Amino acid sequence: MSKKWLILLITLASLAAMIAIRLLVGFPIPAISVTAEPIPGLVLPIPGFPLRVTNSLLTAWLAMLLLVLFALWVRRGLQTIPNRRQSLAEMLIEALYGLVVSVAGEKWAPAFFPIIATIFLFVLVSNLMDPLTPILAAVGVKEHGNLIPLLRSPSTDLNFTVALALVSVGLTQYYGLRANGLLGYLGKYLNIRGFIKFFRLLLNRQPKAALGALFMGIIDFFIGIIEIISEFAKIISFSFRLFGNIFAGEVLLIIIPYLIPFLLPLPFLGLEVFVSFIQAFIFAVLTLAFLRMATLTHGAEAH
Amino acid sequence: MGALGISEGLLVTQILNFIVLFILLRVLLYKPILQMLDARKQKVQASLEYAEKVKQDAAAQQKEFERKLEETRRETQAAVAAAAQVGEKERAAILAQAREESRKMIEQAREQIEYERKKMFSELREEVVQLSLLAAQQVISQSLDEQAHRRLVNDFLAQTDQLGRTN
Repeated sequence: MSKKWLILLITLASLAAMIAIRLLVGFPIPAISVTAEPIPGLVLPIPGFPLRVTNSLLTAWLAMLLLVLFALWVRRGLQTIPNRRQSLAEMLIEALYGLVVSVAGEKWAPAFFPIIATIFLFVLVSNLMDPLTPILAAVGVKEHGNLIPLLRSPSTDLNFTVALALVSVGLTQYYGLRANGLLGYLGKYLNIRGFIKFFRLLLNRQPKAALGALFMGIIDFFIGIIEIISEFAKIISFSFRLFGNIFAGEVLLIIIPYLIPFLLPLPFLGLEVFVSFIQAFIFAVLTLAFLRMATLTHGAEAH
Repeated sequence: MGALGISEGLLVTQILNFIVLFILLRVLLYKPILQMLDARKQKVQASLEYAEKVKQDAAAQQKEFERKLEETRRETQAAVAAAAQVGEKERAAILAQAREESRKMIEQAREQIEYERKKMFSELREEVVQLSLLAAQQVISQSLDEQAHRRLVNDFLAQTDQLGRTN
């Protein structure tokens, strides 16, 4: 019998033993909660609004701290001829900047880049807390016999994802307003240009053309209303896409080790790292695309 | 909303989190790195421009050098040609002079010879006259006077002259 077969046999035997012990002894499935758990005893005394700090909020602060430390670490040795750590940061920043320029153009890139980069980095670091779930979930505070983890990926908390979605959509509105002016911006959602054309043609006694304009005007008006709805849909799709992906990953990573704690979680950890990157990228790139669309001047199209 | 865990306080806090992080990263990360990248880009640009300038300078110098070399070569050629021309002229002049001199010498020699010949001829004639006179005197010393005698001899000489000339 070769060595290879021996190793395989031992592996399978220990796996079988693990599963048998689990099944015989029984195991508690950890509490999975959609809401982020408030950490007992940790309340920020903001006058009027005492804030109960949740574990996801705490982790968000940790993520911010990590990012700021990363920035300081990069900044400390900044020089024209880069060392290895600087090259890493430069590569990241340059790739992101190149992406923003390629989508939004040179004109808007300086304004959009910090937004996109911050969204990407914040979401990425927050997502990457998710593959750490098996470790994070084990460290916590006991309350009424339940273990409340101290740390939890912010992306698994709707407060975080909705907040980012609000920021993203809010900035989209701001830049849309800035690029198109008040009338252009409002005209996109409350499109009455077709009606104005209809009345003008009616006054010029061209009833047939006027009827066509009225028809198109009604369609444009409805499209405007759909645009309003789509802006709200963006908030929901942004926040729930991120939340759903990362929360599902977290649940997976909590459940799988309790079923088979040996070997099997490893591919899922890899998968979650991958998903973390993809979701951070999607959030950033979608924000970039929406910003781009919002800043396309409508004036050029109308003529 | 409550079932999903969304609360205004947490939502606002997370938005503030984003704003704080945005400002911090902007100041600490993006600006320094983008400035650095810009600076490097400019530096590389400047280096490339400098290299280009140096290259152009070198090319210009090369051209200038070649031009000078060509000029020198042409000048040398001209000088050699001029020297050759001068030498040729000199040679011709020397040759002409030599030829002239030799011609003169030949001329002189010929004159000399002619003179000598004439002189010899006249001397010879004088001698012949004397000899003839002497001989005639011996033969006919009493029969002829001096004058008749001389005419006789002269006639004879004229004949010999004529004879000599026809020879």
